[in-house]
Amino acid sequence: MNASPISISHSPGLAFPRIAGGAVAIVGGVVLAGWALGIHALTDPVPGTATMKANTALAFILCGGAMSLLHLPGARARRAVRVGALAAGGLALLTLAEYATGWNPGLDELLFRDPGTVATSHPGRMAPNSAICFMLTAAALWLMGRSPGKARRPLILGALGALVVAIGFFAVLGHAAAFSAGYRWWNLTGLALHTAALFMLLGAAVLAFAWREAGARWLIGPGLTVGFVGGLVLLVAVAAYSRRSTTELIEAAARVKPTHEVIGKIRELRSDFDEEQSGMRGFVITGDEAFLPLASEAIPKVRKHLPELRELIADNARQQARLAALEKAISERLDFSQQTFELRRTSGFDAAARVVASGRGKALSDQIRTVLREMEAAEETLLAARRAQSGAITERTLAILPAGVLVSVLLLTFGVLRLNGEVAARQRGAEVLAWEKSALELIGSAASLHEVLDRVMLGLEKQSPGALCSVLLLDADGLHLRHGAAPSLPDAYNRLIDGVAVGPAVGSCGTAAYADRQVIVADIASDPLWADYRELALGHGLRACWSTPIHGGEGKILGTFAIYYHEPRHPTPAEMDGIARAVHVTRIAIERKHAEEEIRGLNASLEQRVRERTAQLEAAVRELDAFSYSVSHDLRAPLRAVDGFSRMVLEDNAARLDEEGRRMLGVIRSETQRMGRLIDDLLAFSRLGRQQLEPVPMDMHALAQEIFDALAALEPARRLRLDLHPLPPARGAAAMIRQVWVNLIGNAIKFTGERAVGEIEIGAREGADGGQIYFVKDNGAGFDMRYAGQLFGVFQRLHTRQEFPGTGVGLALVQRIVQRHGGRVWAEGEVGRGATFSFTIPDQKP
Amino acid sequence: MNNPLEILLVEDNPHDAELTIRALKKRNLANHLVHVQDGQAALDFLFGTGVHEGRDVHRRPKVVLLDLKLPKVDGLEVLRQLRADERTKLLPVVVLTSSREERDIVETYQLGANSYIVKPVEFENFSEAVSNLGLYWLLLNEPPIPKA
Repeated sequence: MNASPISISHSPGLAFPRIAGGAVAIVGGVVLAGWALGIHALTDPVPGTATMKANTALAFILCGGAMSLLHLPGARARRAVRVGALAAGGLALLTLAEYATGWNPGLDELLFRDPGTVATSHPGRMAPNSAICFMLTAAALWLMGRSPGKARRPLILGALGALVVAIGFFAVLGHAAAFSAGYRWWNLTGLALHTAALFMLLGAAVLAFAWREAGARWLIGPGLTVGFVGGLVLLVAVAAYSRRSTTELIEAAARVKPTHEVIGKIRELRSDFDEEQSGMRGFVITGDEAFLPLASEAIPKVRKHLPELRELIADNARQQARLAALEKAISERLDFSQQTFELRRTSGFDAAARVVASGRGKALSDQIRTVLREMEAAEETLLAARRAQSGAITERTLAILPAGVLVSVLLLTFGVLRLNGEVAARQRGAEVLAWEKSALELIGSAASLHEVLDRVMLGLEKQSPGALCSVLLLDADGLHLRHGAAPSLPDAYNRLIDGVAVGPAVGSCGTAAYADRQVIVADIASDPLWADYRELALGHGLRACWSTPIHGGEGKILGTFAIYYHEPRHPTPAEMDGIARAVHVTRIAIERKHAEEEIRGLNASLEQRVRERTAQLEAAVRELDAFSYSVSHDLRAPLRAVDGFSRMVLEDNAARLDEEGRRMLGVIRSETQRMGRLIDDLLAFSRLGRQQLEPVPMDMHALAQEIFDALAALEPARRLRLDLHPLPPARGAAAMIRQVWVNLIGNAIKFTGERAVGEIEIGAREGADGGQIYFVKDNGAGFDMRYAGQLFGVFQRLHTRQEFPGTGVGLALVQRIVQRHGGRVWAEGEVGRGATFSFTIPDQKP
Repeated sequence: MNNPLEILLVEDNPHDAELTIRALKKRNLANHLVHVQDGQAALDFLFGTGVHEGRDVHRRPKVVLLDLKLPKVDGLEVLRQLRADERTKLLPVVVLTSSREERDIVETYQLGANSYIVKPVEFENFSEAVSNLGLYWLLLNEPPIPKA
């Protein structure tokens, strides 16, 4: 387990799960309180459908609480998340096990006793769909409580969240559409409306988390999103409403049918009663027994109709009261008929007639008929009312259904159109970007300005069908426009436009360049600016031309960019944007290519100058050659004569000279000789600059030893001690490197002249850059470090010639040789304590 | 004219010539020396042309001491012509010059000079160099061409 804080703790993607989780937990707590206090409005907000069970409320508290802890950093918070998930999931799993096995350990009513009023298969038991939802949510929470890592996690979480939302939504639909299968599965305990809503919230929170973690982005604008969701909700609402209406219609129809039956029964009753009456009357009047069956058949029918009628109107108290009166009247009337019948048969017509004449029978019959009429009328009224009711439902449904569908179709259509607009805009944006990218690549390539502009124009034309794009470039004189690019305009037109002078009414481009403003000519046929060029343009089928000046960096006009059309046209705002972009890219192309040309020109002139300078330098070197050649020849000859003739004087006329004369001639000779050496050294020094370097491998160790031996041999009187450390080989020009050693070792010998024993140490060490540093160290006169910079200058000397002889060229020569080899030479010293000269010879290319 | 010719000195600088001759004399080597002052004169002398028209060209010196920087025809050109001619192709030529230029040295040897001596400024060195080469070429060296 990674105990470090989760880096996404402050991400906005967790805000929704946190808030939703908290809300779910609070609602769960409120419902639990409802159970404790017996407030049915909290546990059962839609009476007669389903209740949120106590266990369900508890599981909501667990899940919601866990979800609201997700944003907290630290291992403890995440452990709490997993514990909550485990508890809720375990409760749900046990509930499912109860359903599956019929096992009942009393878990369901552990918290509160359930009156089990509505839609409850097992008192207090969580609905099976609730249990499933809790298991899904718990699984999701378990995953969310772990450190992010697996790429599949957002996908799994998304599936879990979507399932929970779907089950909740199905239940909400069931409630809304009076469709009980939506919330009650397998006729078991049902899922309450607020339970369903909480599941949808939990599922949505899981989805938000997964969405965030997948790095997905919602790019559709808020207005469009609201419209789209609104359309969907409306569509669902219309569907739910129509289902509810259909159910109501079916119920209304079911109620109309018994009313019809009641009316039919009343009518049957009346007709059978009438038959009995007429049969009896016939017999009483005629005494003919043939009338009797009519009556006797009708009587049982009448008696049978009455209980049937009672059953049919069982739900109508007023009709039942009428029926009671009717039953009484019918019973009396039938008794009366029986009496009359008996009298007629036993006592004859007159006796019967007297009874009939009493009018009691007629009164009863009238009463019966009145009650029957009343009952029928009452049923007719009821029927009319029910018909009116279903008619109203039908009318309402017929009105709302198409209106709702229409509105949602409109909303969705509008949404799709807007979406299409956005996608189209993005597509266009992508195309423009691609065009700009390819244009910039082209500009960066080696293509010429005309090639670049041609291809940029073709790219533009591809984006705007029907457009013919052109670029004219302003001449250096600022007065004429030259053909730049117009790949789709007719060549003949381009030729005639090339070189056109700018002016106040020279078509679109000439005017745009002249007036330094955009010139939109929507119809060439009527625009006065085109008076001079109208025939030409119309002759090539050109009707509209919008031209825009192209400005350079300093506001200077570089040229014009124009779009032609074959039909009269005004630019749309989008096209104006496109023009601005095209002008920008064209400007970059022109400036860049102009700059390239300038650089090419500068390079060419630079090369020319380099060639000239090289020639001058070569001439100078040749002159210097000739000069040093003359110096070497001609400067030495007089010196030789001075020295030679001084010597001859000394040889031939020594006797005639006194001591002072001989000394003076000696001075002349020694100075002459010194000048000869100076000249030789100078020549050697100048030759160095001109010699070709031909590096060869050199055994530095053997070389140093050999040179020391040779130089020491010249000073047999001196006591010299050499401490030579092993020296690595080097590559260099043999004669030159030799000269370096000669000069440095020679100096060391020379400047240790005042020591009893001249100690000279020669060695090498590795420098900071890995190259070898050779050094020659002595215990000689040394030098003051303040003058170290002057050591290597030509004719620079730190000692008098009386102290140490020399021309002052030796170290300058050493420096020149080392520098020609790409190396470095430096000196360290202390007056009276000796000096160390170091140099490097970097590897030379063979 | 029966005296054997031993050295032809080609030198335009009279002081150098005097120093050279003096050095040779010290060793007694300058008895049969001819001194000319420019390249043309040297060629004329050796080939019997110009002012030396009719001279017996078979009387060749044992060695030619040739300066490089000469009026009219320079020393290198003289050398080139000597080596181009069948008669003087093998004539020993010692270049005696002030130049230490490597270019000159290399070119001189390529043209077939037998020695290249740089004239030092110091009289002692100079005279020693000259007398040594005189001794070598006149006394020690066996000439390649039989005496005429």
